[in-house]
Amino acid sequence: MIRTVVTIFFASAASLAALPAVAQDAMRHAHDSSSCASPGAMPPALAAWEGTRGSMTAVAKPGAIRSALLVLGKAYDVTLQPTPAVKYAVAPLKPGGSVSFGGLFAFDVAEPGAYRVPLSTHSWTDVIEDGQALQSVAHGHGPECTSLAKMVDYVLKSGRHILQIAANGDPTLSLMVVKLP
Amino acid sequence: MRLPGVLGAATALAASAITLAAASPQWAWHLPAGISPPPVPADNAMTKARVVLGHRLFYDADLSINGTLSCATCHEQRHSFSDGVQAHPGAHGEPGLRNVPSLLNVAWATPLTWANPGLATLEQQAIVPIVGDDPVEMGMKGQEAELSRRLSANSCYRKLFKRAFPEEHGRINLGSVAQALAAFQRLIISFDSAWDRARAGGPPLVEEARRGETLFYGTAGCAFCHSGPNLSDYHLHQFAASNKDRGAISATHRPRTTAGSVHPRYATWR
Repeated sequence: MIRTVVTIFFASAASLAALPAVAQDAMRHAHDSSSCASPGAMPPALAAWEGTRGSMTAVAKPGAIRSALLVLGKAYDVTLQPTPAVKYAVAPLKPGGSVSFGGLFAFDVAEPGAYRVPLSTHSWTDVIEDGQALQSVAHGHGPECTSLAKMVDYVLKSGRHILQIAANGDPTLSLMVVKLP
Repeated sequence: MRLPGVLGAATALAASAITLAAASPQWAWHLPAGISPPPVPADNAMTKARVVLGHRLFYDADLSINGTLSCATCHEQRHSFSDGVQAHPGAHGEPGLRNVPSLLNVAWATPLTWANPGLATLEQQAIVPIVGDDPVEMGMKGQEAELSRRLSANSCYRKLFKRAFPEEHGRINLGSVAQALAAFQRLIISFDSAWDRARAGGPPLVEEARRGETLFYGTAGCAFCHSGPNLSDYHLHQFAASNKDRGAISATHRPRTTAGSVHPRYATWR
């Protein structure tokens, strides 16, 4: 049974829309923090975003996924692989060109439920469960005037999952995986 | 009419090919009765090889400066080759300016854009999002050599370009990219929707759609602008002034074709 997804409404009024995964790319249009006079407020669920971050390098193939195991609730500054070097578990809908970057990570889910993947860029994300790319249940911009650009929500079963990053314009980005309340 | 920057380059590119053939004589257009083949430039005859190449290029994000945007990023097939947002930002997050138009039946569209009625062919228009800077979309201005380098480094592309442009030894540059993209776009055709079939005497629309059609052509007044087989009269219409988009005035410098000449259009469904 799929639990009801809790939609969190942030103080910045960046609400999440329940749209198909293919609409991830559509959220790029409105998140412009260049005119912010002061940093925005980060909700408690994402507080770790602004704390001490770990570092990790994405792997280029599913077989090496154990080397890129993310801890839930911890933010990371990650280094990606050149897209031509990456062999995805499931082909991304938006794979990116040869000059872009991507990669794979793993994370373990103990308690089934709703989970969020916040990112510092608008790269394409997929969460792979049982060999299939899951359809996201919600997506949205990060809180205004923060470095959090994009958030994508999934309903996950317990077990190991693969997080795929694709079509990132730079070799690095920040990300984390958090369980939603 | 002065066309600044990249728009001038696009016009120069096709200046020698503005003479349009009625259609490529060797190409078999499979169109319903009453629909004539679209115009095709004399120097870019339709061939399967060019369509195949254009199809691949359309989905290739290497046409953008950082590999994050392809034509298909904004022209999504599930949105009738348009977009699901008001304006799509550029490769580095530059603000978008105008709603992405659908490419359905674009081969018959004239004008091709709302900003510059001087863009007469798909070959000219294809260059604009790649190297344009107002707005910046794929961000390749000044990087045409880099585009050639990327594509030339791919053995598959070298083969595809040789097949598509055999007389030119597989020329790989912005011009041949634009020609291939144009050939592919000429086959983004939709004349077989439920509405088309109903109009042709086929199964009637479902009741809800029929009521919408009555409104569309009646009291809602949509058909005043959205007329013809492609549901557009391709004319600029005066709406409320926009503070952001100067519309066709940017290219024509004519005050009458002013900002806000189009109302926001989201997904276009057929």
